[in-house]
Amino acid sequence: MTDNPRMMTEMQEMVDSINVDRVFGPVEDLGDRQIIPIAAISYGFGMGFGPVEEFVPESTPPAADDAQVATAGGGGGGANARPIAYIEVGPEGTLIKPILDEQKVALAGILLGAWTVGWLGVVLKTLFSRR
Amino acid sequence: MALPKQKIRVMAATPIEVAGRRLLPSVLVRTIQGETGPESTFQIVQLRPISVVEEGPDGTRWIEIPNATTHALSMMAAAGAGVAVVSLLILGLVALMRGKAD
Repeated sequence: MTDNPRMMTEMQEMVDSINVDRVFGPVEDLGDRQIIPIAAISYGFGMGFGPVEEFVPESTPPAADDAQVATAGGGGGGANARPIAYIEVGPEGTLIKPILDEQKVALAGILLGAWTVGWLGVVLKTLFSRR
Repeated sequence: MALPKQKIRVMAATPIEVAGRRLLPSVLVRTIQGETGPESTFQIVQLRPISVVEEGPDGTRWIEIPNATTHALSMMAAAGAGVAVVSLLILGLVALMRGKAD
């Protein structure tokens, strides 16, 4: 794809460090029960390269065909891990306890409340308005 | 520019040995890969745990890993859609009744 080996190597190292085993955390011993955290992981990266098109005045003689053309590029990436549940292994057996993202749910609840109030207002305005 | 390629796989993670039980987790891996130009590329990978198979003294059991947040958000979206549908029905009925009264 690209001839920038260093960037490709670093990106590949990032990709290799995140595999399916990272979804399940290490076993935490809490006495009579053990806890295993579970996360949903997502990551992404992008990169691009291209020749540098610099401004060349008209008076400058044309460059030779075999002249080297400079290339430039850039890239970036990120990763996100969000806990979604944990496995609890205890005397009762193996249980999976979900973890609720309260911030997202609260925000969605506010939006739902505003949506409902808006529709209620439209309906009441129509019902009690003169023809 | 070519459309991004999407690949969805279910992969088995390394088994976890805990308290005399063996847990065999499985993960849904969704990969989106694309090229935005001749020398540019991007990749997005999502790893979502879906289930655990428990092998223990009581036998083998399949346990689903629920995503409570997604479930709650889906329920709220359904409630929002229900509010809109009921409101539109009421508005339609009011318009129909007023049309007949005139």
